[in-house]
Amino acid sequence: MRVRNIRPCIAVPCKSLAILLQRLELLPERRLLYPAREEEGVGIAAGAFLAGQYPVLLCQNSGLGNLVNAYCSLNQFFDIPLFFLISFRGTADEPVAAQKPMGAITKELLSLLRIEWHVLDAPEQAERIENYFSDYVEQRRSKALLLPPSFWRA
Amino acid sequence: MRRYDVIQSTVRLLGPSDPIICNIGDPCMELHDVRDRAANFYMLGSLGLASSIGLGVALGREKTKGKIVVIDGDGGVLMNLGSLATIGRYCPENLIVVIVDNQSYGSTGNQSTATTSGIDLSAIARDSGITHSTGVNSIKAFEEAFQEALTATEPAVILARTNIEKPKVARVEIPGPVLRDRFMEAIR
Repeated sequence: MRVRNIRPCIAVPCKSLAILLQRLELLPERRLLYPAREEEGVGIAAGAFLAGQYPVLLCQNSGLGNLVNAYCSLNQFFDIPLFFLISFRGTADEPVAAQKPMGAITKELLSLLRIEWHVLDAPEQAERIENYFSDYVEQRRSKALLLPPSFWRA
Repeated sequence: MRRYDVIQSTVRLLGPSDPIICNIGDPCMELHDVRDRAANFYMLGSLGLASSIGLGVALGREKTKGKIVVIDGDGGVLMNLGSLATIGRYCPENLIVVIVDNQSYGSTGNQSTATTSGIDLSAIARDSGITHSTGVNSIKAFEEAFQEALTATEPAVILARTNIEKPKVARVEIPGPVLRDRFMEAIR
């Protein structure tokens, strides 16, 4: 939220992201956009980057499966970086059983996509988001931050 | 009317640094053959995302003069119909989406698409909130519609109904990062 230069924020909602999205809706300078699905968000983000911006894609880890080809044939092929804030569902305390299978492969899937990932598992770790975002801008390399339920416990 | 004619007219009516985001396959090869410009973004993968990339560029350049043109196809638009809704919702006034509708997946052997059953993608665009949306059947009508779209203060969709003819043209062999850098430089 406090991180400078993040724009646009492209989001496919998750219950865990709801409060953050509610706040972003009130910040026109963040240009919150809701695509219909994640791979569309990847396309919008790539366009924003080509226009000189540094976008972030917010989504649930279930949405990672929806964007695999887009990430490979667009971001990897053209070397276009992307910053992901991912609600990490399907972890140990997950109440929704259907979230479990995707939860189980999320880290491996990100590694397979050669996206550097980090788990932020406590609210205090939010401070690190700024550093990771700066690295993404300076190194022009994709980063994914996985935010499990323990991160949102405030 | 052939898609090649549509691409030729599009390039002729645009300035040299006006961005064109072009759909994967034959359209990229034909655009490259018509005129290889730094401001051409040859989307060599990610079928379906041309209009999304165009939306991202358009919103990122709201304060800059000039239009962003997307050359998409019926197959590409059908794969990402949600994109028309998203464009209609955010309504960037600097975006023109040309949908070349040849009722087929032309780059993969002319398998038929859903538009063969009479679906009008320009009507779907209109119902998605892109009110400046029209369909054309001749190159003369296309050029008129395109010129109108260039002066419009809202996003535009032009559905160009073409045949499946395509001239023999070469593949685009430029590496992705080179295309990215020259595109970003050209539109800066």
